[in-house]
Amino acid sequence: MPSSADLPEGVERLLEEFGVEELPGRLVFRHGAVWLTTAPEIPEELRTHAVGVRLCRVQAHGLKPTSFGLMILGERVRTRRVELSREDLRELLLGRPLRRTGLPQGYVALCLGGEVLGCGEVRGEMLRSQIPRARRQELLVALAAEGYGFSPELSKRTGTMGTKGADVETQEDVLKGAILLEERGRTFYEHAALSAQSRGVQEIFSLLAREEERHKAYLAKLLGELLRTGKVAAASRLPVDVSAAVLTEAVRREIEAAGFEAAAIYAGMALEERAVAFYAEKAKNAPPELAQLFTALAKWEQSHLDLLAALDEELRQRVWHEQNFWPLD
Amino acid sequence: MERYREIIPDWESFWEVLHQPLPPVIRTNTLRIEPWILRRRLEAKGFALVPLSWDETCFVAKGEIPIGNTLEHWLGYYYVQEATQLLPVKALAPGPGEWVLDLCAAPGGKATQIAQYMADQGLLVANDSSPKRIQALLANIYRLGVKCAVVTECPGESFPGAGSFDRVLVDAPCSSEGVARKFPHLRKGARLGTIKRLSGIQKRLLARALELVKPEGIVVYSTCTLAPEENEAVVKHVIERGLAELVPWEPPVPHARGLVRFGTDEYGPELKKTVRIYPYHFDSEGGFLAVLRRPA
Repeated sequence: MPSSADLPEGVERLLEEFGVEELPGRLVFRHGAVWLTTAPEIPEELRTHAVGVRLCRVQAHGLKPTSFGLMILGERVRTRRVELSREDLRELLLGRPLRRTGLPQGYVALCLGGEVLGCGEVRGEMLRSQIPRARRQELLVALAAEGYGFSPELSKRTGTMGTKGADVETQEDVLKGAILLEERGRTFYEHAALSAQSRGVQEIFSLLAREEERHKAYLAKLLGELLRTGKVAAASRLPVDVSAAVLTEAVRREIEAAGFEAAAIYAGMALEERAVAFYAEKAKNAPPELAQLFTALAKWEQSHLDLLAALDEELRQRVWHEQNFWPLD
Repeated sequence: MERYREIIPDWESFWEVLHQPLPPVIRTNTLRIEPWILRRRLEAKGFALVPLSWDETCFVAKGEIPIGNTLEHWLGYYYVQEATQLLPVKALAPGPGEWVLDLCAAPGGKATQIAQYMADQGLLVANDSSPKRIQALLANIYRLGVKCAVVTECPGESFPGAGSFDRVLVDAPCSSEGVARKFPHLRKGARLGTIKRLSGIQKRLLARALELVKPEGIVVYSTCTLAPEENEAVVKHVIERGLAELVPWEPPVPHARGLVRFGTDEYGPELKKTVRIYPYHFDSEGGFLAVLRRPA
């Protein structure tokens, strides 16, 4: 428990509230915060930014645990844990409070699958995330990339989601897989647009979300036709791809280097790469009426990829040339 | 890069590999998770992980989503760190309870690796001179949950104190020619003016590091550039002045030895104790490192 007489009042009580019985280090008070450290001593001549990991901040209304602090305490946090589903977590990360009853008032530890992610706060029946904005955005991107990623297992499932035998992929299976792919893309871009700070990048993500929605609607129409009539007509009127023209000079100027946009663009590229590969592969084995559609969709997703790659290159050049970046690690 | 044709043993392989993508390597943060658990978690997400033959805590990790975009990365269970960049800390070989200084620590890959070697016990001072880069350093120290680290902001050349550290790492700012696989515009090589300017800074940093380490303490000097002016010439500078002696170090990977001469510059046979890594040696970036000991 707290080992220094210089600690602000309430540290011990805060730790007790979270059920922390033993600390993996000692506590020191510096820069208006309580730090958890294993450093035996700190040379006085050093001007420090940080001493280990900041455990809590001293605020006007009392002590506030930090997200990194709770994360490092991990399993030692035995009480005030709030286990979240991925959907609930996504809502919190997007800045939307959740209505929850029966939770203790005040700060809590937000958890996913038993792992502490950071700090939340309960007021009345509303639960809010206190994870810093930049970290929230990074986690959103990670969850989106994971959720929409095709692991080999997931790819198999996507390809055989029908009920007509695991090894035979029907037109229905392929169309369902394609619809799922477009839906994932739409959701990803919608979240990315919500989180991006640059207006230009927001618009690009919104546009990509709208395009994925149009793809999905078109594929759903074909699937309905297939289920009704047992066949699909040749895809004759594909929606027009408009993504190529949106990377204007104004957008280039607005891109936030090294921020959320960089990570989201990167994740979007991975998403589009998979979509191109998916459609190209399906086009090879599909009957002519679907092969034409999938070839067109592969080209379409490729144009999205090209757009994101151009944005990525813009960022890369900027980081290198303007931010005095030395890639030492 | 053409000026290095005479010193790179296999120029054709060197040039060819510069045009190939770099395999993504991750280092398990053993302060937070066991390598086999991390491997199992990432494999369940579709990544193919192959452990490095010379460091089983590290993996080549290939997958369909970027390796930096996972929950495990966000939780600080691993650090994406290029294979050559793992070597300086191996050479430094810090241990639990020691006092260690990473003089140019941002963005924190090597500092957090040092903390692992120290089992998070002792004092790790992670310093950098740039406020902007300090933010990246702090983010990584916090994310990986390093508790023994004290983060400071100070120009390395004027870092305060004297003779108090067991080991010091000088991963010096450099012209970065060794990372041309990641940044293709570097394939043409750095400007000589830039190299000369950096060489001066590097000499001052290394000389200061040798004052900060205890007598008989170890200093590792490393860069990610191929320029002899930033590598052998810097080491020669401190050896000549009697500030340090070179310690031979055998890396666990294929490598070349440091240069004895380059053009009209003579560095001497002693510099063979230093290590050069070319990207074709083990499908990595290029780099240089030297292990030095401060005289008693």
